[in-house]
Amino acid sequence: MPEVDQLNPSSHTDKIRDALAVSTYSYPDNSMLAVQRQDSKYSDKNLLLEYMAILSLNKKSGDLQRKINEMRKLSHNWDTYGAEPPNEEARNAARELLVCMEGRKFLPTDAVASAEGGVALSFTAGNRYADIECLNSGEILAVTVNERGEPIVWEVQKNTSGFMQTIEHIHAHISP
Amino acid sequence: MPISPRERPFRMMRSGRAEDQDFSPSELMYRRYLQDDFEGESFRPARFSFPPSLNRQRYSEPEDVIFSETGEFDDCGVLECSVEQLSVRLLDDRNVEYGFVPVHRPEENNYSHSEIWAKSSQSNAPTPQPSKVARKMYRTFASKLLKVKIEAKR
Repeated sequence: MPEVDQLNPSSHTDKIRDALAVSTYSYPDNSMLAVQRQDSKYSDKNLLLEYMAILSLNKKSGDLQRKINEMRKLSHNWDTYGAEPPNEEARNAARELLVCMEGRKFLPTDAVASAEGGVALSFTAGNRYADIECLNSGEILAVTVNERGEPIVWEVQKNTSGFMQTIEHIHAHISP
Repeated sequence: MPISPRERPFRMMRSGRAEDQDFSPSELMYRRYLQDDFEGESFRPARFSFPPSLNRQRYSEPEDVIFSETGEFDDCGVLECSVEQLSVRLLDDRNVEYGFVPVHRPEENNYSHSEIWAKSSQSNAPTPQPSKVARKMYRTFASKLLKVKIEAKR
């Protein structure tokens, strides 16, 4: 991948275009890019900012995936109150959710082992909070908490549609 | 260098004492925690299992929750919250109302040990297993009430 901080002004657009072409991000092809460069939306500065945002998103997602993978090393009673470590089913569900979230460009602020046995993906923004818990039982529960501290909980359907509905709901809650 | 086991405070031993289900609203409840249990200033709901295990103030000191003969909890911190704050009523997704109450569950080497159980509008007997939605609602709500009494070192 290119070194973003070493771009020079005369060639950085080409480098960004090349980098976008090899990334997994779906972006207009080169012919569209040539036409749309007249539009400010595709200005050199915006392209660079968008590319950096994608890099940041990919890095954060990778970090969270690694954190979930590391949870397999936890042992019984890791929380000192008798909690079980997240099992494979819970870790896989959390990873699948993360893939959907990355596609939506909306990642959790953290991923931690749950004391109920499972993986929790949490979202925080000021006084607003939400999380999704993928439990060892196979159940997935989500919660949002408003400024008054009132929680709303629902069970997440274990399919892409169910995942996306929950992600959209939490996105609307966290980023109104 | 080997470290000699410490002696458990006598107040922690049950010594044949009966359960005491009389909780004052102002009585404090204690629980140990680790630094990673916090996200910023807030205790993570995911780190608060149900039924939550707590020590009651009436029969213990805050540091009892981090006592161990082997010192395994030495670097843990202590959280506190009052019975009044923890005793809330919540309505789950099936419109079943649950009232959460402290229940004294003494152990032989920890007489003050208590848990939070739930009484539903359908049954007056407290249960440690209300509906999964009610459990998660309570864990999320109550975790935000916990305040640091002794700072964790790990």
